[in-house]
Amino acid sequence: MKKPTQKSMTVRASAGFSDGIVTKTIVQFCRFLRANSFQVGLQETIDALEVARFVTITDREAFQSSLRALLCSSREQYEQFDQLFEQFWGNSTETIHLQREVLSSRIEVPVIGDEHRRALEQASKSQEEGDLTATTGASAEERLRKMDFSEVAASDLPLLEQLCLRLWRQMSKRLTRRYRQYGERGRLDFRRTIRSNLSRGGEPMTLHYKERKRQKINLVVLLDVSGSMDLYSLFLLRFVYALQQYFERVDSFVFSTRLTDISGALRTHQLSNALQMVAQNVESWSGGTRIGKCLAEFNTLHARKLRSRNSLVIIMSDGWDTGEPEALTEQLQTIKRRARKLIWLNPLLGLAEYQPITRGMSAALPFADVFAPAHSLESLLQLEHHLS
Amino acid sequence: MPKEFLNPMNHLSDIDNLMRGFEQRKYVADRPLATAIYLLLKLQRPLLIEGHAGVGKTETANVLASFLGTELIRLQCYEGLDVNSAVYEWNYQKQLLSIKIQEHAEASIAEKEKHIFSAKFLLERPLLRAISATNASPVLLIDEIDRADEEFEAFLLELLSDFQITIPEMGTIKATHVPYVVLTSNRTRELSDALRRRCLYHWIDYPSLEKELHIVHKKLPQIGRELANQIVQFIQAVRGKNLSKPPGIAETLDWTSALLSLEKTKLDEMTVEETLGCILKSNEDISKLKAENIPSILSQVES
Repeated sequence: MKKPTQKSMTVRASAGFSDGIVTKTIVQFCRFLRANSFQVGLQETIDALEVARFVTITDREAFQSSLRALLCSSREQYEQFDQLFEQFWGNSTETIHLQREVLSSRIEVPVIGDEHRRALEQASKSQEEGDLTATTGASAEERLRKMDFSEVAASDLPLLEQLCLRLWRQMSKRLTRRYRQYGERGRLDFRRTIRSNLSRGGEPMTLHYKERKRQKINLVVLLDVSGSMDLYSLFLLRFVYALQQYFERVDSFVFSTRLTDISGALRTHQLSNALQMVAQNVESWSGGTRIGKCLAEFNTLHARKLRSRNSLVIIMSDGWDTGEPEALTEQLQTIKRRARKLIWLNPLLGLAEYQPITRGMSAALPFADVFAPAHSLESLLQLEHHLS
Repeated sequence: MPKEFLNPMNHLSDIDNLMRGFEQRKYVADRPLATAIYLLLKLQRPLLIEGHAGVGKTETANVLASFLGTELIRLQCYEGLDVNSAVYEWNYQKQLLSIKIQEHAEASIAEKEKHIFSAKFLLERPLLRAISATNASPVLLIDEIDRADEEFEAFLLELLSDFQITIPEMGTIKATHVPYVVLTSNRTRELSDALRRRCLYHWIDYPSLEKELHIVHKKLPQIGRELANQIVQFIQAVRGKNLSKPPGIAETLDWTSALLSLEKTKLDEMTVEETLGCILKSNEDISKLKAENIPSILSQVES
């Protein structure tokens, strides 16, 4: 571990050094983090100021570690933090180097009273003002949410990816909450209680409860990665990854001319590693499409995954099929019999002029309980309403 | 706790003290972790530690308790953990027996009732014990919080903000010594934002080569330099192999002690194959590593 650096700390300010500036700078830093999707609210800002009272801003490393412990709340943020800290407090041209002597004096940040609190509250409200180097604007978000994946500019990709992860995470969280049945004990089982306590004269010393049955939703995702889906499949794969993270049981497959089980790769790895592993293991990426054949493979090898009628099956495909439509019909029938719901997501449905008249698609349509678009972030978020 | 600790004027020496104190207790804490713990003590906010399995999350709380010279109270979370096993439970059997015994006693119903709902009949579970500590603030370790249900998490959130527990028959118990709380999570489930915001956060990653070597020497001082180097380099290489359960520091230490008791002085293919079970805990991972060719990994390991 490095020794704390003693190099002079720089503070973003244009005038002389005073308590006010430090307070203001910390408040601005908190706003800067919030603009970068950190959940830093009023309370966190007040805590950060509190910390600055006893961790000197001059010891950059301790100051940075303190704020990191305080303001981060997940690994992703933890890893993002140092860069943001650097960006904000770093040696930019606007910063001024402070004299050593000034720095060695302790910074007294006033204890926060009601008045201060009000001022802070106001400051938080006028978030968009000031010279923040915020990179995520609400308008950019709004635009990207609706944009077709195939039309996203390369420069927007990182932002969109970040946005996707965040919104999907929120969605999955809501879903998990809805599905989770609490492991609370059921009602008292009088019969067993009395019977087992007969030897003690019927006094109910040990209590027995009726177990409550848990109902778990089981999700099966089949993603088409053939050539015609190229513009979408990478985003959809990330979406599958997001689903996988939060559902108790998800089995995921990709297919084109062959079917590949990718559940293991997605379940046990960080996103970037998982994507890489999938890319390495799938032989027929960007190839032709044989939907019927792949579904047959699924039905023979993996159909046991459709345990009971608690399974939801999601197929993500544009329906371009080079196989026979009869084969597809037959396999879909089998799946439909075993699953509670069959959801077909088609990215092309986002196009205004699109009609599902390809042979594959029109063969599949009668079996889909839900037929929905999957071309943009917004449309994928809509899926939430169907997952039950 | 050293007397001069938590001197309001000197956070630098406090953090140094923490690091030294942890080191004396054979726990190698880096500066960011020490800073997070410092804030935990200073702000009395819970600290949420996340990280892969076996990187020393739980141990942090153990060592902290020993450093502060205070009691460690541990709550292991599991699915279905409820208030009765986490906070308190009345000892029903004892109550029933007491009722029987008092059946013909003179006391009034109210007195009898008061008697069976007194502290004597209360089974204190970890959270209640942590709240009712009388001498000094204990360290409360809430282990693997991600395994508990969300319902319990919500309850915990409430507890962590007021540090008081209400028992309907007895009244409200408020902590006189607020416990220092450490929560750990393996990220098997996403925790609620509310809980995350309530806590300080620290992520423990796998250690660097130097740090892991340092840990091995610290924990098992009798080990030879050559063997330690080989072990740590091998483990670090294995972590890069995309396994489903990469070995943590706990596995490194297990393996090291195993090799020491087998009186090995250096790694060779036979030894590694025979003892692979110390570092890899699933058959898939073991066959995968064997397929990766152990001699080639060994050849990269310098002694």
